[in-house]
Amino acid sequence: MKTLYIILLYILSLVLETTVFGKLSVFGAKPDLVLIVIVLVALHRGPLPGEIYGFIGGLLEDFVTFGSLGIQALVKTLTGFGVGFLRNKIEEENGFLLMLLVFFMALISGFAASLAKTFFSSYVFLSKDALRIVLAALYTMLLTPPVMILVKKIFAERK
Amino acid sequence: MSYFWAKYKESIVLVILVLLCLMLIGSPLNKQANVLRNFFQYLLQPSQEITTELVQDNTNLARNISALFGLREKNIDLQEQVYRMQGQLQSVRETLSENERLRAMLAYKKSASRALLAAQVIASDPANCFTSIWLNRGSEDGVKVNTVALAFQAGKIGVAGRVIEVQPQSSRLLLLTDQDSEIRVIDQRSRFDGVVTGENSNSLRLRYFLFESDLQAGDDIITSGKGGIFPAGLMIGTITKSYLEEDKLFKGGTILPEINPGLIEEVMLIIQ
Repeated sequence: MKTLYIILLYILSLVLETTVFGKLSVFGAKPDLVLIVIVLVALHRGPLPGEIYGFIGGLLEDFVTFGSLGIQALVKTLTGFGVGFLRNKIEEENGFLLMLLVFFMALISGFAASLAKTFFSSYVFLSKDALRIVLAALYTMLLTPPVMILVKKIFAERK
Repeated sequence: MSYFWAKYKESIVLVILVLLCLMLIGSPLNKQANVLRNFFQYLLQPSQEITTELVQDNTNLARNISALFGLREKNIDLQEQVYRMQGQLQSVRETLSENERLRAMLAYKKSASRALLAAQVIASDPANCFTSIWLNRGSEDGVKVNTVALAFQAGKIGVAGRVIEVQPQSSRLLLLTDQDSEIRVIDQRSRFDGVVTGENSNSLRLRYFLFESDLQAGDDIITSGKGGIFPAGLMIGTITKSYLEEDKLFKGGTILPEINPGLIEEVMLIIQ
């Protein structure tokens, strides 16, 4: 049931990313809501669920992103795995720390996705892309609190 | 075995998932990805359309919220009145703006010799709003791959891009600002021709103009019709800078697109 909620949260995130945030983009940068969910789930559940949920979220994102299939899945799998190791090391109640973590993970996954796209397709990384990734990471960080509330509710229901 | 699994399960699953991702990226399935994407988009389309409608109805939501804080100390009745009036005003402004765009589109449709079809943007690429968008028109409306789209903004008409994926009731438009977009163009003043490519931002790059080409800032760039997809004479944008490329064989430059692809709400598809 919890998995279904997380997948529904991914779908809601993707619908918002492709509609609402399409109109609220800052210099072309949009928040990565799916990444926030992955970071929070991985932090709560550890590396194994983190990488599995990361893979699912990334694959769904690949379906709506223009480009090679599998790139977002790869980046998000590694993100979920990496963040999972921080379980019990970061206080989940510390909102500021979580926002910082989301910012850095958005930054790393943004550059990693660009690197993977450069490697696996004809994509050319431009300086403007770097600025967009930084802005998107900041934007993602600012949207962490509302997503955090939803993820916490999902896990609270389980208890 | 169970000890090995218990100790290394995270790493084993990670290796399997990473290999799966690499297989997806490199496999022929990637060429069939459009089928999967179209299916997923088909599932998402109703929710995207509803969300887009809601967003359009509340375009000035942020302004309303900020106004709410400023009016706190005022009398409640007055607040309600102000809100009602602001809401009506914003609604009227939004309607006027929409009306203006649609009138421009209608006027163009009447004057154009081509068969045109209006389409609404229902979703954009989650990674970057300058790469691709989804439209609410598909093969059932006569849309095909490589159908050209024009957009209207502030009284200006410009190329928005071309259709790259078609479903029965929706289609994906590759915006002219996407890095994969290439359009054959000419300088309207000097008539030299070259190519315009996207940069995933609100600027375009001029390429492959012969070194003797006369390109000047302020020149209008239009489609040449030589690429076989875009009809000749459609407005692309205005040159902001031109320079000789490092190889000294070609001239290049940057262009400000006639329309901002990040702000497109409706387009007109050239279906014939």
